Amino acid sequence: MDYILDGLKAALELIFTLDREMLLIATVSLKVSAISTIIATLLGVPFGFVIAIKDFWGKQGVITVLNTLLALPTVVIGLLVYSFISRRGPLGSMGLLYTPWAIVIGQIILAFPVIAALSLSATLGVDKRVRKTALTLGANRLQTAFFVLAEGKFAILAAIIAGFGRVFAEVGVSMMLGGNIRGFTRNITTAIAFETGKGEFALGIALGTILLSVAFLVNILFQHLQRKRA
Amino acid sequence: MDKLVLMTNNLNKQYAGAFGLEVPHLEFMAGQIYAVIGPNGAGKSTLLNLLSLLDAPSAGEIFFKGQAVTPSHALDIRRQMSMVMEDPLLFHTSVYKNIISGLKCRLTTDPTKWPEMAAEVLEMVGLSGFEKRQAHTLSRGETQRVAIARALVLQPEILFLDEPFTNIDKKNVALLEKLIQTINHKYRSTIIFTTHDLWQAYRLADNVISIVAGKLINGSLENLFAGVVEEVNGLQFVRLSADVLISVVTKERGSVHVCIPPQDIILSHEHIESSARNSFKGIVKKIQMEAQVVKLVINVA
Repeated sequence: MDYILDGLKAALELIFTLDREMLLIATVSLKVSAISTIIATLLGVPFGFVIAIKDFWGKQGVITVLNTLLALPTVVIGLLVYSFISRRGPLGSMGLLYTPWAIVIGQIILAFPVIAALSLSATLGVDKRVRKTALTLGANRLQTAFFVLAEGKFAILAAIIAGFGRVFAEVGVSMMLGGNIRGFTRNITTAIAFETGKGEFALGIALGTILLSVAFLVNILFQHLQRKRA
Repeated sequence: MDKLVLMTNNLNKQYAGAFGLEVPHLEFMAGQIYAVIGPNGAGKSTLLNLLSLLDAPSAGEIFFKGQAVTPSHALDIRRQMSMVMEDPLLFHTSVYKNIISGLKCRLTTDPTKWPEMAAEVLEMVGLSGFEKRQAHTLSRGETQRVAIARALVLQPEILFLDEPFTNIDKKNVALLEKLIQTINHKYRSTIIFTTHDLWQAYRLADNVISIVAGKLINGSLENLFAGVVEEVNGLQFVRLSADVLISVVTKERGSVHVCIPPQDIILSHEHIESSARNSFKGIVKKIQMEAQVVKLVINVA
């Protein structure tokens, strides 16, 4: 039991002294996850919106696929992206493997279904009268879309936060595509796995605490926005 | 001011599984008030949606100031009109941002003038100083008046009001009636509204359009009865009930609606010797005084 307590003590020390190594790792996590969330938002929100408002053949099928992708295992994404960007893969010449951009690609694929599916339900949750009201005020198609999105803004924000929470806490994509290179692609989750493997608990617990704190904050924000929506 | 602002030509809207709306010809003059009356589900809102270009007709044409509306410039024309819906929705933001939302879509006015314009329309609807209030904290009557102000700030050529008098209390009905007249006077906007209330329609509007089951009715909806055309000895009758037959001259067959203009009704204690073919004996059950008319319920059966 002693080594756990020692680990905890050392971890608190790392956190309160703002250990350089720890901050470096946390920064990689935040940067990479932020970039992938932003890109997934730019793709996912319009996608979910269009699926929600348009009626087309196969719509239910698209929604089913989207919901299935919510459960996509990170290692499968890792495998898929790896096969494309490894040296022998079709995009191998771009040299993306074991760079932060490789993680970004994997995390976009991870966050996209989350953000798109929640944006879809956010759009469906907006009062049907919003569209008509916008039209009576002389809105064109794009302006009408903005009116609807603005009315669903809390739910859309919640979708984005959920997407961020998903990528921030994942380990499979980061490990397989990033390669856990110190100061470059080593992020919180890969570092925890690595440190634990070495039997070093202090840094692992410190990073785990940061991870949990961020997850906690994200969830508080998420629930707050969900309440505002209702 | 007698300029034609809106005209329809063989307008038709069909819905699967329901009766459609058929409007052969309608004309709306600039600066006048029009009331569209009819029972629930008659097609009043459908007509308003077509006229305000929110919905496309299945067939037929709409002319705005003599120009046929085509998809390519429907938006431009739609921006010269505005509509307040039956159960108006305000966006989840301040009253001020609601008021300017239509101006934002157009960007034809100077944004620095918006606060002044908003204040003016809010004053008109009796809600001065409401700019900073959150829209969702307002009462029903206030919500509706903000929605009217939001439409009014656009200075539309035509203002559509869909069932403006339902869902609000008596005090607000009086306010709104006055407001409609003020808007019409001040902005010279053409106002087209729907209502169930016949007397209100006559009180407020210069013209009344009656719709029953998707069709325009000539005359008014006063004393409107449903019946079946029958022929007895070469004379035509509409049977309203087992005991009541009204003599008519018509080419229609089967189920029809009959309306009897109030000015053509003569009441008398004695039997009147005249050429009038419809004479009924009945008992007055109820007398109700309205603004310019007297409502009587008479049992003739």
